[in-house]
Amino acid sequence: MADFDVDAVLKSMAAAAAGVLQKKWPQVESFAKTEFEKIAQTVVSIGEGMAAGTITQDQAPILLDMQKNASRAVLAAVEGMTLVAAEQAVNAAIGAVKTAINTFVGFPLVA
Amino acid sequence: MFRLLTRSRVWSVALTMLLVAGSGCAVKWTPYYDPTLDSKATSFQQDLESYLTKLENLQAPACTYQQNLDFYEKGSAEIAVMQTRAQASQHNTQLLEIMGSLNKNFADLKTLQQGAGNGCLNSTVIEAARSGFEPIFESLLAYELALKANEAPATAPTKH
Repeated sequence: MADFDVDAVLKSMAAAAAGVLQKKWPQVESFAKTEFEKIAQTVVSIGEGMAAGTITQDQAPILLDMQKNASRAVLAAVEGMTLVAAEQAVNAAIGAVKTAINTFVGFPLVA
Repeated sequence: MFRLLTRSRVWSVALTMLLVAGSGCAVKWTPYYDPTLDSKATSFQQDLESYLTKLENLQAPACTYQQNLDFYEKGSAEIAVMQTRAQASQHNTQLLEIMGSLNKNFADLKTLQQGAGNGCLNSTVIEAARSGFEPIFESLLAYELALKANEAPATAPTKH
């Protein structure tokens, strides 16, 4: 079995993702790197399984696809939870100036 | 143009934008917490985990796809129900992505088992498949918990 340099692979994956995401990359970098590590680990497991005869060539791409789907779900949840945090921040900001807003408009616009 | 606006006009414009964007007094960019989806996801995870554990201990022909059609029919129906609930939610982009991943992995598991023909999936393949599902359930449940924590109980809608 050929060598698989996990560190080099992870660096290449991070560089490719950073190139696509550009300004958004720092927001997801830590989560994305964790997911890339899982994908790389899956590749290692698949390679070892194939070498040991416990994973077939037909099964290998399906198992890799499953790990990619899992990573997609993780990043979607991170994005969703970031939106929750942003929503809370904006609502807290509006709440902080509630009195000023309500006084200005003359009715309880902000509850 | 903004130089022509008085301070009060700037306030008015800002408030109007707030009203339009927020449809009232608070912004809402995320779905409401859905206790039914949360519960169904946990139930489906239990069913799937039980199935994979059972599969590890079965011998042919009990382990074959043909002998486990019930699991796949029931599982497909459960995922369809969860996807419908996600589809009906507002601001559902992330929920749909997570549900889509779950659906794809379920289809992948089905393909793996169909591919085994009259034989059984071995424990290495079952474990690799399991590790593809776990992050999806963790993501969905973590997201639902975040949505739950984001809601004041008194303002949560009753849409069930």
